[in-house]
Amino acid sequence: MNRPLTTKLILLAVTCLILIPGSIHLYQHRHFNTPIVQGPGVTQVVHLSHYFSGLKGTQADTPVFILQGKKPGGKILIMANTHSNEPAGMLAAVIFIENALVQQGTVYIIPVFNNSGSRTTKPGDGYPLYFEIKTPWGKRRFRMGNRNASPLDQWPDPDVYIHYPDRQLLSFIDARNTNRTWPGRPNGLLMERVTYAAMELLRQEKVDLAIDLHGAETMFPVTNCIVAPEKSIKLATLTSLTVKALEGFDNHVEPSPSKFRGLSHREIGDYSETLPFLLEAPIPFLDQPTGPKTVELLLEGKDPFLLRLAKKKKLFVPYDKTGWPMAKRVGQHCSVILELIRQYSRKNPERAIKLTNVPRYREVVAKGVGYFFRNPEKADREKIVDI
Amino acid sequence: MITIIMIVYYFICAYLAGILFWSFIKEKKSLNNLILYLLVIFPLILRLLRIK
Amino acid sequence: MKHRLSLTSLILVIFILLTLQIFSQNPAPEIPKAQLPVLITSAGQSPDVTTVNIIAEEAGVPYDYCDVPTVDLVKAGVGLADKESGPGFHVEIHSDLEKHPKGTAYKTMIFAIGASLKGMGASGLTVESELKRLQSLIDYCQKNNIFIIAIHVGGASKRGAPGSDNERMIDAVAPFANLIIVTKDSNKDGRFDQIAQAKNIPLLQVDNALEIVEIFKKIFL
Ligand SMILES: [Zn+2]
Repeated sequence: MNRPLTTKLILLAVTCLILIPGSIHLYQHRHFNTPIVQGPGVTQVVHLSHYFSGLKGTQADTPVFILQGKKPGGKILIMANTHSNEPAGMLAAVIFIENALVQQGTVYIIPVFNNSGSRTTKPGDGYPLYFEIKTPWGKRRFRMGNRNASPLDQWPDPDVYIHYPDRQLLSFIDARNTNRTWPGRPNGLLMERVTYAAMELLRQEKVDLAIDLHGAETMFPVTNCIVAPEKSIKLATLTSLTVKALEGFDNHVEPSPSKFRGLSHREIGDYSETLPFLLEAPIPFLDQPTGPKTVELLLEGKDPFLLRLAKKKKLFVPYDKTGWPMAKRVGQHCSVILELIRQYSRKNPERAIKLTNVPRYREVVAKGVGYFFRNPEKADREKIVDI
Repeated sequence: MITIIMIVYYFICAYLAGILFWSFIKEKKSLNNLILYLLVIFPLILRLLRIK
Repeated sequence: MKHRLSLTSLILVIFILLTLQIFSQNPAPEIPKAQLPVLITSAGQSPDVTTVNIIAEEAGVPYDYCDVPTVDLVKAGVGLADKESGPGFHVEIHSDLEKHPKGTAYKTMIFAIGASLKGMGASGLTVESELKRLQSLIDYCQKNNIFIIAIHVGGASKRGAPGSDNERMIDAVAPFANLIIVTKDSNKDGRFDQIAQAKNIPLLQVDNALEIVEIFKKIFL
């Protein structure tokens, strides 16, 4: 046997040895699902393609849980994992799906809005592929996703992303960011079709309120807040004041800039009758100057470098040794959503939404997020939905 | 339209991967080049197999 | 039987009066009265003025709102000369037009203090022009006996170093107010206490902004 051939074979073997195990992990991550249970309040589960068929059969299609009360009233859409690397909102959405009892009005919940993004991971940053939440019946495992959709589902990226319909020039990467592709269009990029489908849901069902759940870095001023455009800013301010007074966590209102296009809190308001809100809870994991991006950092939010920055007053949220546990962030989302619903119903009794059995901030912090999760093994088969 | 562009890109990807692999087979001397060919082919294969 | 009943009710009435007496003896600072109609405006164009609008709404106080009124606009009284909102200029009319028809002179002005460069920029203002506008408004109020309420609800994060934009807005309004209302976190350094003491202005401090709803009810209704 000649020497070059041996070298080539060895090199090929080494390549396969690296490629195959690495690929298996990534392939499994892309196809991993978390089974969740339809709670007693869920009356129907459809897919987003139900409202716009252009999503059918794509990796961007995603379940929509509908909780309809006996009494007619207002309607609300709750979206989470618009950015799938900010999972607190998704956990709050699952708490709603598995627990909420709706007496009046209808609640629509999309726990994984950017499904494609939730099935990929950020290259180069050493993000974990999964994280687990402790529950009384064991651990529940979720995918840790990425901010942007997977290039497997939307490729290639444009040189410059031209927002539709305003023609504002945005970064090429934002073409895969479902918080830059609103209000979308039926024949556009896949992510534009995702937001278009959601706009269709809002318009067809005449939804009153839309809430988009996010997480933001502690070094970013737009955190611990409700972002709202002019038409929903009063409701947002009233909600913010109330949760601050009654529940004791930090919250403020940020006006939605009118000249920055493509964001849910801007375009939903401009292109439908719906009042949009975007909720931000802190997520230290996403801050740049932290230690390794571990699951523990994601769940507990403790980091020595952030602690030092906090002492120098460089952070925009209160921060100490206790970090920012997931339960606090999920609890904040629950409370702010419930309060927005309550205040809206108070002002619009004919479009009221009444629901019970969803914990507020204090209860989530006291009992932990997993306490409110249902065991899929104890549930009826037809009640289980993979997200 | 968008789907067609995507398919074209997959063809480009396959073409490049093919060329690289052919060069790998044809390379006679440089060990450096051999390793480089394999490194460059990596992401192309991941994309073609729809893994990443 | 009849006597017994009236006796019970008498005791009840006395009891209620007593409890009222106890509550009224709370060492709460005396709250001055203000009169309607009232115009709410911003000093520094931060979103905190929305908070004040909501507080008025929650308290059931009918108000007019303009974020950047000039002296001429204030002179136009209730209804603000039917001006319409546009980019960087906002008007809301909620005054009770039965009691105070359009053109009635305002008796109270509320300034929500809080500097925001974004907000001022959106209205085409600079810090200097905003300060000038405030000064002319304060002058007008003082000459025409319009009751001035200064409110700061932005908390510690809004407050800045001496001489910063936000502090200049405070200086432009608070020392000339007839009543100052602040949240505790806005007054951590006691700055509003100093102003109130130096100028002998009543100061009300609340733990959180929603408590101002009750204050508004007492002031206006
Ligand atoms: Zn986000």
